[in-house]
Amino acid sequence: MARGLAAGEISSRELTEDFLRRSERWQRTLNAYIEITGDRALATAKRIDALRCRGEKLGPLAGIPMALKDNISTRGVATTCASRVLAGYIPPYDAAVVEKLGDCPLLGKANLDEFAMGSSNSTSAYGPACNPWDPARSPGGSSGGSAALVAAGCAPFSLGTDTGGSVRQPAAFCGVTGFKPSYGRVSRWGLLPLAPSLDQVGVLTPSVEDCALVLQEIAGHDSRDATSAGMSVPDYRAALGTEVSGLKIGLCPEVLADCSRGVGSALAEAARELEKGGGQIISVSLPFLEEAMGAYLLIASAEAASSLARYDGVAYGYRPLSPTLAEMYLGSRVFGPEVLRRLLLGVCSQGKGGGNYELGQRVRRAIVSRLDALFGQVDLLLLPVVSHPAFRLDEEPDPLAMHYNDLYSIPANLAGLPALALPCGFSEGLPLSLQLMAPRFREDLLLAAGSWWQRRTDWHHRRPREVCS
Amino acid sequence: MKVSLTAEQLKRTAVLAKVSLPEGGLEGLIGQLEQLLDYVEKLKAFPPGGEEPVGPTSIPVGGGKTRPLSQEEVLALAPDSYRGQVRVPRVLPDE
Repeated sequence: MARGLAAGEISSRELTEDFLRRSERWQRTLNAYIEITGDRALATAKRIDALRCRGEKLGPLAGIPMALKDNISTRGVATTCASRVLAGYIPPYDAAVVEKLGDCPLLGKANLDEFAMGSSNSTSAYGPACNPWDPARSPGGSSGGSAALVAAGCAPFSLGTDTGGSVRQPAAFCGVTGFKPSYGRVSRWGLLPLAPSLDQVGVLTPSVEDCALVLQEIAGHDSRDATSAGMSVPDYRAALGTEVSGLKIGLCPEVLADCSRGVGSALAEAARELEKGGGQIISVSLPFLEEAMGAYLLIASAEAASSLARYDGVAYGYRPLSPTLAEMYLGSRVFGPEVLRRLLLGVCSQGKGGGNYELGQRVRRAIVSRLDALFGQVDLLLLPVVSHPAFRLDEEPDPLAMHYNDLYSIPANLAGLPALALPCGFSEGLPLSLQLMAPRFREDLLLAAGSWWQRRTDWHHRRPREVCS
Repeated sequence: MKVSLTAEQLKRTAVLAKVSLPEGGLEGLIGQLEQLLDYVEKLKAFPPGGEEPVGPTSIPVGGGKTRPLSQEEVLALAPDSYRGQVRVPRVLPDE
C-alpha cells in the first residue's frame, strides 16, 4: 500500500474512499465504529495527495488510512470512551500518537468496552462490536472495534490500548496481529486513562511487517508523558527478516494443559516449528498467574476509581438537570454495570490507607522480580493469548470468569513488558493466537520472531469469508 | 475466610465512589463483589513477605515544554462562555 502510494499507482483519496466504502458497508454488521469520520479522512487524504504531487518528502505511512480506539483524544472529533458519561465531549487537542500519525486519514473512532473496562466489547454504551468471523461472537475487548475493523479489511491498521490484554485478546479473537509495546515506549499523552500504571497504546495490523512500520512512527520519548522512557528508538524494520536460530524460548507445560484442545495443539505445533527454525524451547514454570490476576484486579480497579473521579459533569460530558449539586454529580456519573462494579471494587481496594492497593503493588513487585529472573534464562516467553477462541456474545461469563480472559496477558502489563499476539491456527472456524513476551524494551526481538513466524505460516493472510467475497 | 459485604457497606461504598446504585436487586451486585474480593483475599498469602510495593514509575525526562492551550481553545471546550471565562449551567435552583 505504502509502495503503491509512493509510486503514484494509487492516491490516498482512492485508498481512503475504498476503506470508507467497506467501513460503511460493514458497520451495520459489526458496529465496530462509534463514529465514521469520512470528511476528516478525505480532507487529510486530499492534503497528502497534494503534497505528494508537489514532490514533498513524506513519511512511510503518509496517506494510509487508520482507525483509532475511541479513548484516544482527537481534536475536533468526539471522544466518548463508549460511555454516556462523555456524551458530547470533543477534545481540543490530539493525543501524541495522533499527532505522530497526522498524515494518516482518520476513518473513524472504534468501538470499545466502556472506559476500556471489559474483555468482550459488550459493555459499550453504543452496543457491542461483533466479530467478523462470526457476528454472533465477541471480537474481544476492550479494543474489540479496532481489531474487528482490521480483520474485516475496513482499516489497514488501527490503534488500541492495552491495560491487561486489551489489544492482544481482541487481536486473538479476530485473527490479526496485535502488539503491546513496553510501558514507556509510546507516549500516552492524550489517552483517557483507565489504570495509569498499566495502560499502554498498542497496534493492530494484518501482519508483523505492518506492525513494525506503525510502531516505528509512534514510538519515542515525549516530555508530556511523565512515564515516557528517555531512550532512543531502534530501527524496527531492521529486525524483520532475521532468524530465530539460537533464541531461547520459554514454554510452560502446565499452561498448555489448561488451554482448550485447539489452542493447546496450536501452541505445541508452534513450539515445534520454532525448534525446527533453530530456536531452543525451554520448559519454564509460571506459578504466579493467579496472583498476577488478583494483583491486577486490585491495582486496576483502584486506579480506575481514581481516574474516573474527574467525571462529574461540571466542565464537560453528560450533565442532567438536577435540583441540587450532589444530585447533579451523581446524575452525571451514568456508568454501565461493569464500570460501576469496578469503581466499587476500586473504592473497596483503596480502603483505609490504601491497604489493598499496597498489597496489590507488593505482589506486583514479587511477580516483576520473578519475570526478571525468568528472562535471565530465556529470550522470549511463548504463551497463549487466551485459552479458547471467541465466545458468543449471548453467553458472556460472570465477572470473575471474564477476568480469566486476561490471565496470560496481565503479567506483561504488571511488569511493563512488550508482547505480541500472532495468529497461529483455527478451531471450528475461529482464529487462534499465540503470544510472545520479551524483556522490557526488546520490541525488536518480538518483531524478529513474529516476522519469522509469518514467513513460515499463512494464518495471518486468512480473512473472514464474507469480506473476501 | 469468605468476604462478606452488607447492603449498608455497599451503599457507603457507593457514596465514596460518587455513584448511584441500581434500584433493587443489590443482592446480585453484592454477590459479584464478594466473589471478586474473595479472589483477591488469596493474595495475602503471596508473597511470603519482605517485598516492597512498586512505587511511581516516573523516569526523568527532558526539559521539553508543552504549548499551553490558548484561551480560545479552552473556551471552545466549555459548555458556554462569558467575557472570556467559562460559564457552566446553573446548578442550584433560584432561591
